[in-house]
Amino acid sequence: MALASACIYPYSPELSKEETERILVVDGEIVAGGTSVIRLFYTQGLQEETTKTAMGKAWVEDEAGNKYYDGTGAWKSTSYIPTLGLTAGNKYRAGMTVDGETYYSEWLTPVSAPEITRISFDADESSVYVKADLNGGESATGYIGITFDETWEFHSDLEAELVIDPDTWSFPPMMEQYPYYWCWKSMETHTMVLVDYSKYLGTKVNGATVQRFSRTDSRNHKKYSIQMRARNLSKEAYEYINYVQDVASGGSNLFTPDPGTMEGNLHCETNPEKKVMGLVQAACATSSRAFLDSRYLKFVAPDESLLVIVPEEEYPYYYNDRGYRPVKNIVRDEQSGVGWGPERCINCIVAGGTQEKPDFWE
Amino acid sequence: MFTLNRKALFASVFLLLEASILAFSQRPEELALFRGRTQNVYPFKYNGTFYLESKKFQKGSVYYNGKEYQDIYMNLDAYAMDLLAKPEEKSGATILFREQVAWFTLGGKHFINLKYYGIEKAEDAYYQIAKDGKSPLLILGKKVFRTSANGLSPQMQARMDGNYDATVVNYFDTEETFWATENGTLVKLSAKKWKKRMAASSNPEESPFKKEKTVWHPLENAKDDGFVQPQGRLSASIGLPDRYFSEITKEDTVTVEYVSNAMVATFRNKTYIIGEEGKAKGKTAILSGTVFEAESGMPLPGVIIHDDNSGTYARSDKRGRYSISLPLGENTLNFEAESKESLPLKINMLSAGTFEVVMTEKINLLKGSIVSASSMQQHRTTGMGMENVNIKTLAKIPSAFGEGDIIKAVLTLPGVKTVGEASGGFNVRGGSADQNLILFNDNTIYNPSHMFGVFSAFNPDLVDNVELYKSSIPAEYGGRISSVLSVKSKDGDPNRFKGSLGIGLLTSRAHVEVPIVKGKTTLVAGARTTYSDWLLGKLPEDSAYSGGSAGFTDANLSVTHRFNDRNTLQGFAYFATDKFSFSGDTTFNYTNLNASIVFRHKGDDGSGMKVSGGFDYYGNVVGAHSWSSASYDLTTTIRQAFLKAKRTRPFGSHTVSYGADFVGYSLTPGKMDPYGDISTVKASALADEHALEPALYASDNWTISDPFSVEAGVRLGGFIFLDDPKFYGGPEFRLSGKYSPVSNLSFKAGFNTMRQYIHLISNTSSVSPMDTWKLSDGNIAPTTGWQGAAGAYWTLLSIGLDLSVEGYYKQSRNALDYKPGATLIMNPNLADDLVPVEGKAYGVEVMLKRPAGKLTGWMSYSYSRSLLKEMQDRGTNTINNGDWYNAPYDKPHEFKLAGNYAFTHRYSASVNVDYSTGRPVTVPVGKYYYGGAYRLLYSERNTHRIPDYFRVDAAFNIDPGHYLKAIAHTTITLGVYNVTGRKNPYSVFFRTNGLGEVKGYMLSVFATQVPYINLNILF
Repeated sequence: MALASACIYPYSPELSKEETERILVVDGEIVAGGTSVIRLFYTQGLQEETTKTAMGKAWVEDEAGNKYYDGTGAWKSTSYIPTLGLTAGNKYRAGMTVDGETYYSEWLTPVSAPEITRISFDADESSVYVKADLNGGESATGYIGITFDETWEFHSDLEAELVIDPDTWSFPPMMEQYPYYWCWKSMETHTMVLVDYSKYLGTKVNGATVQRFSRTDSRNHKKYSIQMRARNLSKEAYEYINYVQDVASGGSNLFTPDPGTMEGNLHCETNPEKKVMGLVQAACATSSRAFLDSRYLKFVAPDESLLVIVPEEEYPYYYNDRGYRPVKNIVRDEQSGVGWGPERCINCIVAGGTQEKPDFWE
Repeated sequence: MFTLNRKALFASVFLLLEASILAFSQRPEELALFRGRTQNVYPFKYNGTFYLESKKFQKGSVYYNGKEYQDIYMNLDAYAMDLLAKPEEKSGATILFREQVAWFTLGGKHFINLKYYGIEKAEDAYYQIAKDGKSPLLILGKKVFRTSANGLSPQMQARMDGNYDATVVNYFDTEETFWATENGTLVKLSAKKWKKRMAASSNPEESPFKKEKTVWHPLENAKDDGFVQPQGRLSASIGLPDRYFSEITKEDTVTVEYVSNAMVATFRNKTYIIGEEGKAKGKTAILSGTVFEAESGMPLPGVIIHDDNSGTYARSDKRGRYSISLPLGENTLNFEAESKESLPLKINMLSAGTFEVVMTEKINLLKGSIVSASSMQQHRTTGMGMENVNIKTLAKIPSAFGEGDIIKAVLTLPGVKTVGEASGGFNVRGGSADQNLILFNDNTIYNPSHMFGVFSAFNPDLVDNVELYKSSIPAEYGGRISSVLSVKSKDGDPNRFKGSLGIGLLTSRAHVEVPIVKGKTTLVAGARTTYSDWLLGKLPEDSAYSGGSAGFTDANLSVTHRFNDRNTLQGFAYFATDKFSFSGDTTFNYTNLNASIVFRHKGDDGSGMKVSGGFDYYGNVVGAHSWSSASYDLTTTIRQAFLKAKRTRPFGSHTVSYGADFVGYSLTPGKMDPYGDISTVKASALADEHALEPALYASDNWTISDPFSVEAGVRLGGFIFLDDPKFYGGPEFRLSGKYSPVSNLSFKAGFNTMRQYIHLISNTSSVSPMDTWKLSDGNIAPTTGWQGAAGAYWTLLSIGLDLSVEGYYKQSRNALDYKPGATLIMNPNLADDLVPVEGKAYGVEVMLKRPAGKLTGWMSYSYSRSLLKEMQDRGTNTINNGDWYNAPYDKPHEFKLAGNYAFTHRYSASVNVDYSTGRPVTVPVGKYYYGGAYRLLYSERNTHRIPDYFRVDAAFNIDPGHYLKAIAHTTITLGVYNVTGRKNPYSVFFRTNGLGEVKGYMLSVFATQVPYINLNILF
């Protein structure tokens, strides 16, 4: 009865404008044998829409004092630092100078990378699941973090049967498929998928779900590819990332821990009382790629309600001003004519794709 | 000097037994002034009510059941010789039990019940006092049915007389006879002789019906009379013991052998001689005994016994036993108890002895004020901050789903808070939930709630007494620094079978009290369970809880054996289990299991001893049963065994208590096991913890004089963590004092120091089923604290109100708080994620209470603060930069009202109002980009507050009716929880969407009105 009468409703606390001080946030990863990435941000107001990045100079240094910089030497918000020479088992830390202050992470020891033994795909009634079988290996810590990027071949929502010549406003014959119907699209995910196998026997994890998307998603249109990068995380790194992603992002369970700002592993060397947030972790990463065809596609009929029958005299207006393109001849109610739709529904490039085939594409 | 005549007594007994039969099925409240037998409507009019003079009720005075009442509408049925009374002129009349009527005045005339005064040869009737004096002259006026001239019987006459109803009164004559009392016996006089005596002068001072004053003389308004019992010891008993008619010897120690539901004693008018001449040592002697309840024969705890002349005072303990030191010679000892008629008794102390007392239910006056025993008790004790929850009022406090709830009742008291509805724990005067010692008899309850706080763990039908110590915690209690909640279960009625059945929207419960050996051995058993799953099944599919389940069961069993009136042995067991899940694959299951054996001994010298031993278990299992390789059970348990011994002895104006405790702990802080055949979870466990906690204590309550008393105690406690040996310990002091310049005004002050060696590990505001307990060890020091408090207490006698103002200040050290992101489950280095904090709390509580009358209840306002501060410097990570921050249960302003209005004795309405400042929360004050998405930046801990809390509950109660011979009685309660439907927030949370927008949400547990109906059957 209690749960039946429970209610969740909007809440907007009154906050003082002075409550948000600008605090440096560091999101970094020292990748031994790869490219380390250090991203710098500032905390910002709740209503600010633009991501507040911080400009600084970042480096990775070893215990001998050797420093590794982003090759350009410029002040950046994101530094890509080549650290191919770094090896597992040694200690490294990240450093950065921002606004005249110098910050350092703790000394961190990257451990050897886990193995991605298999990437598999599964589906239920509504979703496709991308799963990974992993092996923590000799340096298994009980925690694995996975990031990934995806590339897939997709088609536009609407397949155009007509192409218009904007000079003559006529429809030349189209012998082949509309040229901008198929494209590729890529997306890189920085949000780390966390796998906690510390309570399981052995160092292997089978069937960890890394990604999930709808069966009607464009990822299923033709071919989909995912490249996973996995690294063994320290317990502290796992707990921090998990906390930030889960609890600090809000929960509604009666027993959700009270939120707060978790202590990271950075400090300000030049001003110990200055706050800094975030975490730099150190790892060796491994990557693996897999492809999926369209077997799980759930066909969704094109939404032809988007089409508008445009009279001939309005072709220029729809083409130039409204960004519409002709699709096909349609009959609707007692009207017939050429149906036009938004270009983003017809032209896959306008929809965010590219027709440049990726090098790795099979 | 009048002696008690056995024949008069026998006749009285017969009348008492007759009344007993009538009273057998009655509930206690039906013995009130206006709850006697209702005026009967007879099938044959001739057997109706025929008043002595007219059918018009007049205002008069009556001395009834030991108390004088004035301005009562009354009339005398001179045919049945019944005195009828009614509260209002137009209301129905009830018949006063003749055995309880001493005298009354009506229409300017004075009537007396000679049987009440033990006058020989007196009829069971009311005699009018025509003339007072050395030998009072009396008239006995009766209505008698006139035999018809045709010799017909009244029945036949009624049939034949067509208009009989209107003229029936004409068929009765008034028959007057004239009497005088001489030497304790009644003498009939001729009319001539009577008139002659009437004409003669009289001396009221020599009336046999008074010693000092005439009890029945309205002008003098006296209250006592002067019969002296010349020998033996008698109980002021409502029933007469078996050996009553035997030769009473000086060696007799008369114990009350209960006569079921017999009427109140008529012997309050006697002087009771205790002990033997010449055997006293010194100038005082100890009087001890047990106070029983008339209606049930059960011992009465909390009865105040005081002697106004000497100023001595005592209070019956939880077993109804008392012991008081009285000067030798004559004393007037007053017995007062909540909802009981005050009982003033004359005691002539020759030497130490025992004296059993029975008290009856208080007549529920509709006029005048009643000063309850609890009101005056406040002025008699040094202790402060002690609240007693009356079980009878418990049912009248509206609560969610209408279930009488001990914890919810406690929450209506000032100084007791909770972080929100459906919250498992409670906070007392700024202390955290784990700082309350919750005892069920002598057993420790670690989780006092069911269904994540919706219900308490205690079945109210099985609870006899609830006490909450907010300060002035007695030295016998230790181990927690904030409060002690002591819940006592019923011992059961030793003489008759009874029980109850309760049916509500979500739970049902039943209990029985069975006299296995009448008067000796009693069994009490009860159980409660839910059927809430059907409601969860009705939730919409898109509800987050639609696939959930929730349920609990609890059961109590106790067996009490009375070897004799001095020695009892009780075995007690309690079991409770909860199981619920929000989704299909994760279940939460926790269990309380407690058992104990208690032996009590009452000594001749008024001393008492109690020895108890037992076992407590609390287990918590979180089951992730997804039938995959990740399925597991996570278990935490606490097991403890205890042994306690306590002795109390009076020494003149001192009452000394001393004793020892010993507790052994065995904790499993976390154990994870795979679940199912395909689970690959590896079994793991944190190291078990073992510890011992011994303690010795002693305290002395010293009544320096009537206004002044002090109580001083010390508890020497220790704690030994066995696994990695570490010892903690030290003395704890308990001091309190009282000054009462007048009897209804008291000033008190107290000071306590406390230690706590076991801690609840939690990073949620509310107690959650995943919280675990941790013993102090080498890395976690005990929590220590002290509290100072002072208060003033004033009983406004004229209007029957109690006003109290209490202020307190508390400090604590080494309480535990947590770091953000702390891992509290299965963490072998738990201390690394915890931070020791110091705490301070202070407040003022003002309470106005009306314990008796048509309108009863209490109203309180408190202003209080509870603050914490991290004790160590962790640089920029120190909580709130090392400044004081609000505790999660800090609610500065709080107003509470719990009221009950009795329209009649059957129908009453209850209301509960609860207002408090919103509790502190941590809210996002910004955001930042990390790990590919926006994350929330939170403020310093608890710097903001959710909206204030306000709730009104109302209920209408229908109590058992006037069915004299009903086997069972039904109580129905209809109510609404949260009448205003206010969406009181329980918690707030925030989420970001993919665009970085932050949305805030508030969770309200009871976001609408919750109507309920509850049915209770008592048998």
